[in-house]
Amino acid sequence: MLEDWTRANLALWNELTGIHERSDYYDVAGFLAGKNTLFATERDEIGPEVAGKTLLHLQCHFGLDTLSLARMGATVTGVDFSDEAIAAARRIADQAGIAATFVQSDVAALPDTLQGSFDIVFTSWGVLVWLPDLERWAQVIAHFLAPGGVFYIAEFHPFAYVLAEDASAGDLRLGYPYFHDPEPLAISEVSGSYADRDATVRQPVQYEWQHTLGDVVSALTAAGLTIDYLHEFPFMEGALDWPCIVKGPDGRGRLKGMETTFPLSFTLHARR
Amino acid sequence: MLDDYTRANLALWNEWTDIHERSPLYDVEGFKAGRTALHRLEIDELGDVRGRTLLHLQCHFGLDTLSWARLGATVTGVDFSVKAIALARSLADELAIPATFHCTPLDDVERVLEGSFDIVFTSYGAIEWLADLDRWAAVIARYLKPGGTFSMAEIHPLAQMLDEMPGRHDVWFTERYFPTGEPERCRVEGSYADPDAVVEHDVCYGWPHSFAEIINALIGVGLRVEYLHEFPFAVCPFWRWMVREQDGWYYLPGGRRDVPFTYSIKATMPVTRGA
Repeated sequence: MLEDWTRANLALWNELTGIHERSDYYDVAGFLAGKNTLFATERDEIGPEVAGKTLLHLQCHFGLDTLSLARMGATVTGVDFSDEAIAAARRIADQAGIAATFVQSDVAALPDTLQGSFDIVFTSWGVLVWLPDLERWAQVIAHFLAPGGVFYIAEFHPFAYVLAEDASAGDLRLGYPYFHDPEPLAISEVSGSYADRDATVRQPVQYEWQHTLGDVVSALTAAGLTIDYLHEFPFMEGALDWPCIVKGPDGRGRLKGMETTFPLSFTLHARR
Repeated sequence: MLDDYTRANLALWNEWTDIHERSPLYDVEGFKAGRTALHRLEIDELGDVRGRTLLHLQCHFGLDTLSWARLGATVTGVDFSVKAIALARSLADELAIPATFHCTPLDDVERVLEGSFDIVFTSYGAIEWLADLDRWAAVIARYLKPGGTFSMAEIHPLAQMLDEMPGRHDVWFTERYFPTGEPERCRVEGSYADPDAVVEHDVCYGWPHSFAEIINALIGVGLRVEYLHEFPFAVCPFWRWMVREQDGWYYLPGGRRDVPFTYSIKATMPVTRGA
């Protein structure tokens, strides 16, 4: 049931928030000292557009990217379904002295909670797997975009989610379906978090939905957005501890044996 | 002037035309008896074509083109193979289906074809023969009327990255996804329509294309992408052990539906460009 799946994922993300706040991966101290937490991909592509704009950040976790976008000159609102994450985001905003609004809400329910419209809607890295319904997601994006407003996403590539857990160079087997299934994948026995594999996580199971590239494109266009570009990259940013991923000197992860030839991430820029 | 790669491909396609005319996959006799060469997929996606003008790019010997004509479209087909176009014309004559066919490489269509169309259509194993998708998209935009529709069904780029696992009826990733601009040289055995056929011109060149390249090419000429759909079945067997099911499509064995083999895109030319 959707409520059960969402409840489990919420328990997970509430628990992860505490772990992530203390993790080297998220480096809150570095952020407070001025570090921009955006990855180069989105910093290069959407960064130049944000100054002076109102920006809505969907699935913002505990807000470090949201606050980094505020430092780059955007007037920011961050949304996440985890109350722990939103509490942490507000605390860090206070501590850093950055003006920001944080709202606790599911993406799907956001129009019930939040008023207004935005110049930019932004979302990034590991967000889509937590959404059961991309059509609703795209409608929410369109709802909050001002006419002419811009939507931007940087995300792991759907092809990458097809690889078997234990795939390796020369043995790149498929382990998961490419296509969306309304019934999510139940994932258990995850050790720790992507930000700290040694952490103890009590929540025993998480639920993830695959979405294809076509699902993303078609949901956005059906909601009335016009695509400006789709980019694909042979690297991923962020969580790089998949067994088949090697981390390069640029901090990006690439697929062992197909370092320049396998798509691991995409970005999409669209407007209303 | 054709480059060496396209010349090699042309020799193969001329040879393939004879083979395909006699192949069960193309089933020319069935077509003559009234069977459509189109799949439910492209018919459903394009909708009612009655009274609309349709340009079919890379039409081979025209069975799909003529099937659109039977559904009421006023059709024009173009292909670079002189043999294919000769056969298309003779079939149109024999069946008294009104249709116009031009033999021309895609790059040179404008030398032989004027006017504009309500629909531009292309399908299954077409764009892999093209080096330059920006040029392809420019041709599409050139021939679409304002408000016109571009519709394509093609082989999925993920499927192009797969090969069979040795000794198993299963697949794994072996091939590159990102285009390099350089063609891939392939040794041909028979044809996709008849793997046992003997071909003299057995080397061809293909260009893999990524989704980003395809979609950005269409956006770049001012088209609005309406959707990208993906399907777990193939138009022809990639490997001999793929299974043809009741619906006529080829699937991985065991009822598998987890791997994409086909996609379709619909895009429209805005009534006011750039709007």
